[in-house]
Formats: sequence, C-alpha cells, structure tokens
Amino acid sequence: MTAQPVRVGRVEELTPGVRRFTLVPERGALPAFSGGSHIGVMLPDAGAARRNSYSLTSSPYERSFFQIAVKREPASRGGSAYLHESVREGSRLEIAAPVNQFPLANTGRHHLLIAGGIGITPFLSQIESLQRWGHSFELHDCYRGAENAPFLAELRERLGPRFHGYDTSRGARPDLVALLRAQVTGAHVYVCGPAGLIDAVVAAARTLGWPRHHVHFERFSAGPQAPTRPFVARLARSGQDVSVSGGSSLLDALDAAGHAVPYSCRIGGCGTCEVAVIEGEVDHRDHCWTDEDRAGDRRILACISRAKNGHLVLDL
Amino acid sequence: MNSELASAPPPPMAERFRNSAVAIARFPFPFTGDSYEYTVNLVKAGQGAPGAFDEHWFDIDEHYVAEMELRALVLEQDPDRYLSLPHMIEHQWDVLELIMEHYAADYPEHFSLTRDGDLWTWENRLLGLRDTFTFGDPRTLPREPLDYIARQAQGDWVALDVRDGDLWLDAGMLTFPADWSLKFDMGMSFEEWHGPVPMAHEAGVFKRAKQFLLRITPEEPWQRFNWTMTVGRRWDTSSETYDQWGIDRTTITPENVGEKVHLRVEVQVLPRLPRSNGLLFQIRTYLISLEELVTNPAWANRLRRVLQSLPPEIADYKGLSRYRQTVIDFLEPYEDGQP
Repeated sequence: MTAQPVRVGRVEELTPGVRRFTLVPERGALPAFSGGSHIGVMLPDAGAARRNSYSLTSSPYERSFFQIAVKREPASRGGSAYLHESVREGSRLEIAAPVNQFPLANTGRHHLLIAGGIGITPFLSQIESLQRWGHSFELHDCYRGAENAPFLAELRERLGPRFHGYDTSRGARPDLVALLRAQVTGAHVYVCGPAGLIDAVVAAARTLGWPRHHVHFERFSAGPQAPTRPFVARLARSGQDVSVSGGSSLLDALDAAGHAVPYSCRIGGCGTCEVAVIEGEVDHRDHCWTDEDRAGDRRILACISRAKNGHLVLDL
Repeated sequence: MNSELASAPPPPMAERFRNSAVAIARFPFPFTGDSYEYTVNLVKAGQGAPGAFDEHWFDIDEHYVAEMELRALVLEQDPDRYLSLPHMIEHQWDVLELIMEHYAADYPEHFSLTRDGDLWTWENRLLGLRDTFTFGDPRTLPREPLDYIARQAQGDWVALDVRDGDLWLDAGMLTFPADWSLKFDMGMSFEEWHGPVPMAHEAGVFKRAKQFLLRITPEEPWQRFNWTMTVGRRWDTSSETYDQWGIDRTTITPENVGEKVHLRVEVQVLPRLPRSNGLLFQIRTYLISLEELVTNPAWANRLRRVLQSLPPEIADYKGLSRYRQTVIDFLEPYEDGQP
C-alpha cells in the first residue's frame, strides 16, 4: 500500500484527552472516501515503519483536508502517545489511503448508530453521508461527562431530535433491548466503542432475532485475549523457522524476518493479513471469520491468531 | 445523436470494427500457458506499458465512436440493457466521477472535466458533447448518472453493492455481454450470478475470489481476463438476442473459419468505489478474428494448444463444441518455432 505525505495543518485539543489533527495534502487533492472509513497513520516505532488506524471524522465530500480525532490511551502501544507528544502544526506525516471496514448498508430502511466514548469517531463521517442522501437514522451517544465528549455540542445542534445522549458518569445508559425492539423491520444497527458496549448490542440483537448482517460493529482493540504462548512458524518455501514470542504477533515476527504480510486493522477485524496454513492447528482469535469460514479453510490471520500446539507450517 | 441514428439505416458495423495493425498489436491476448484452468488470475490494473490495453484503468481504442453508436442502437431496441436498483444512486455518481476523472486525466486530447465545487463541466470531444451539471443532483443530467456516462465509455459497466459480506449485482449497463443478461442477473449475489459456470464452484474458486474482491481498496484496482469465442464480428451476444446469433455456431466451415470465428477477450477491471464503498466491475471487450490473430504465430500456436486441452464441460459452456476442431485445424499450420 502506498503512503501519501500530508502536512498537519492544525492540532486542536478538543477535550483533555482528545486531540483533533487536520491533515492537508502536500499537493493535489486527497482521495474520496465513504462514511466510516479509516486511514493508516505511519508511526516511527523503534525504527520500523508501523501504522495505526484512525477513523476519518471529516466529511467524505471534503477532499482538501482529512481530520482524525485521537484519544490518548493510558496503555498506548505508542501510537496515540506519539501523536499527542510529537506531532505539531506543520509536522509531516505519511498516511495510507482510506479503507472502510465499517460501511453503511445502502439498503437499510433505518440506521441506528450507537457510540461509546471515542467510538463516536466513525459515525461523524457516516452522518454526513446519511444526511446527504436523506436516509433515516438516529444516534445514541454514551459518554463519561460532557467534558469528555468532544463532539457533543456539535452533534446535538446538528441532529436535533435524532440525537440521544447518555452521560454514563450520571448513571444514564440506553436500554439496548428496548431500543432494538422499537426499530422498524429492515433497520440496521451500528456500534462502535468499548468491547462491553459492542458485546451488549450484539447480544441484544441476537436475543431479538435480528439477522446477523443487520448488526455492524467496529472495535478499537482486539479486546481481552487468552494468554499468548510462544510458538514457531516454519515457512514451507524456504524452510526458515520464525519464532513468535509470547509478547509478539505472527505478523510482527514475519515482518522482522523479512516476510512482510499486508495488513490493515491489526486487531483481527479485516482479514487483510491472511496467510495459508499447511500444517498445525490454528488458535483463531479474530472477529472477522465465522466458525464456518474457519472450519472449511486452512488459513490464519497473522496479526492476532496463534498456534494451538506450539508450531505451524505456513505457505510462505 | 440518437434521433439521427434512428432515422438512418444501420451502418455496416462489422466493417467499422475491423482491427488495424495497431489494434492487433495491442490486443489483450489472455493465455500465458498452453492449457486453460479456472483461476482467479487477478493482477493490479493500469500497470501496462505506454500504448498497451492496460496502460490506464479504463482503455479506449480506435473503435470508441463505433462502439458508442452501436451501444445507442442496442439501448434503443432494448432499454433494459441499463438497469439500476433505487439504493444504487450513490454508486452511480461514483462511477460517473471515476470515469470522468480517469478519461480526462488519461485522454486529455478527447475529454475534459472542470469542477467548480459541485458544478462540473464535462466535455467529450469524440462524441461532440459538452454538459454542465451539479454533482450529486440527478435532475441536472439528461439521464441517470450511470446511464449518462456509460453511453460515453467503452466496455460494459456493472456497479456492485457490497453488503452482508457479499457482492450484489444491483446496477449496470450491459450491451455487449458474452451470453448473459443484466435483466436476468439483476439483484443476484456473487455466487448466484456465477451459478452456470462449470467446475469452478467445486474448486472453491468463487468463494476465494469473493473474499479477494471484498478487500479491494479504492487506491488499488485489480484486473483479470476472461475469454470465449464469437461467430462474426458481433458485439451484442446477450442472452436476449440469442435467437439472432446462436444459430451462427452451426455455420462454421474450414473455408470461412478464419474470417468468421473471433477470439473474444474481456479485460475486467475491478476498482472499489470510494464514496459508496461498492465495487465497479468493468468489462472491456476486445474481438479479433482468427485471420487477424494468426498474424502473430505465437498466439496461433498457443490458442491451438489451449483449445486442444480444454475440458469438454468448459468448451460446452463457452459454446465452442461445434466448431472447436475446425478452429484447431485452421490454427495447425501456424508455427512459432517453439516446441
């Protein structure tokens, strides 16, 4: 994937933890994108080029700049800390072109958007699309205190009665089952936020018998994972053995060994880093494939999944 | 343009589609080996040498005007060769923008696009058109956006919706298909519209291909070849007109095979549509008669070997069974010196 150079035009502190970065192209226009898309931002990470994904919060119809809103994570893997500490107005960055792993369903009769915390970000560009094309939608936004909700005032004003806010610091929460039950047939629900919120919406939809494809979610992280044990991946074409330590992923170990595999989300959500498996049992940890997909094919998502019994032979 | 064509007798189209030496030299010969297998065979699009059929995402050639005039005639006789479901309007604008942008950038001598915010002016000098419209407002164009632009763009254009982890054939303009029908396939999912293809379902080809297609990004379109054979220099071989061309397959003799039988190659280009998140399926068709093809003996030799090794199920599916041997016999004398 080619990287595009951009200049940081503006850095705004929206809340004590969230900064908005406006990125302008060095020349020409930025690519068009669809609501819910993210970009990869290249981060200098111990000398190696590495990419973190951030939802685009600007309008899909705006090609002279992109905006992302980055929350500083206390347990940052380096990405949000780097952006908060080292990136200033005038800084130069490289970004990967927009990709959408959280698209709107064009056939939806009504779109129910549910955000938790910084999970509001992908909805900002989706709302632009929904409004432009005159689709029926409503937004339910859960936040911990208005001072931590960077887009609250703007959304309230823009959406009017379509906006429903829940200040969880005051104990307000949406009744998800009631909310989903009240939807028209043919509605789609979209949720982005902490794992607990996503799991609760998915569970409520299942309880009510919603079709699987009417429930959409985007995670920020892979969520809590089972312990990671080291294993060895043998590359069938060269016979090379690649050791994957407990603290590392197969994707990173392959990269370090000179076998760069294309990737996008790095949390087992998109399927880009798929590698064919010749031998060994895979400990699937993605949330991209169904059980049916996993049963029929011998593949692994290198960013997140691991070996069950200490070794794998890969078609590489 | 339409009214003029309607009042004039149909022009001798076959003559207008004859290939020049340049067109033959840049013909997208699809076989890289001596046998044919179903594979996904996807490569990155628009990476070809200057002047090649794949130099740009969307190729136009010496048949541009003839093809657009023939398209207008086909649409006049059967308006359903253009269809679009209501949820595809954003995809339609996506396709229009993609074609206009790429044509204007790649063929500036023929096309230009000027944008003032959402107010766009499009000029197509090959067809003598100049229109100003508001991007996103269908009332400012004489036809729906896809209908408008596909009448000015070589090849067939299908816009696929991406949803439910699948691809849906929900809009398109299809005037030159190789024995299939837009009206029949409309609204079908990826595996449904590939239903009739023999042998490939069992091999899992479509499942793998679909996973691949779903991951195409807007910045990186892919292309693949498909091929069949057509009797006569006939562009419209849709299921709807089978009664007009199906019988031609019985007319091949050793005397007329070189002139009548054509290798039909589709270069399919698949870009992700950036604003609607759909997928564009462009089918750019090229026809070359065997007489034209054998001017390159290496192609003659390779095509003969491919036809000899073709499984009967596939020869049947492609409608070649009746005249396959006649073609092989015709190609036999052309040797390229390779074993």
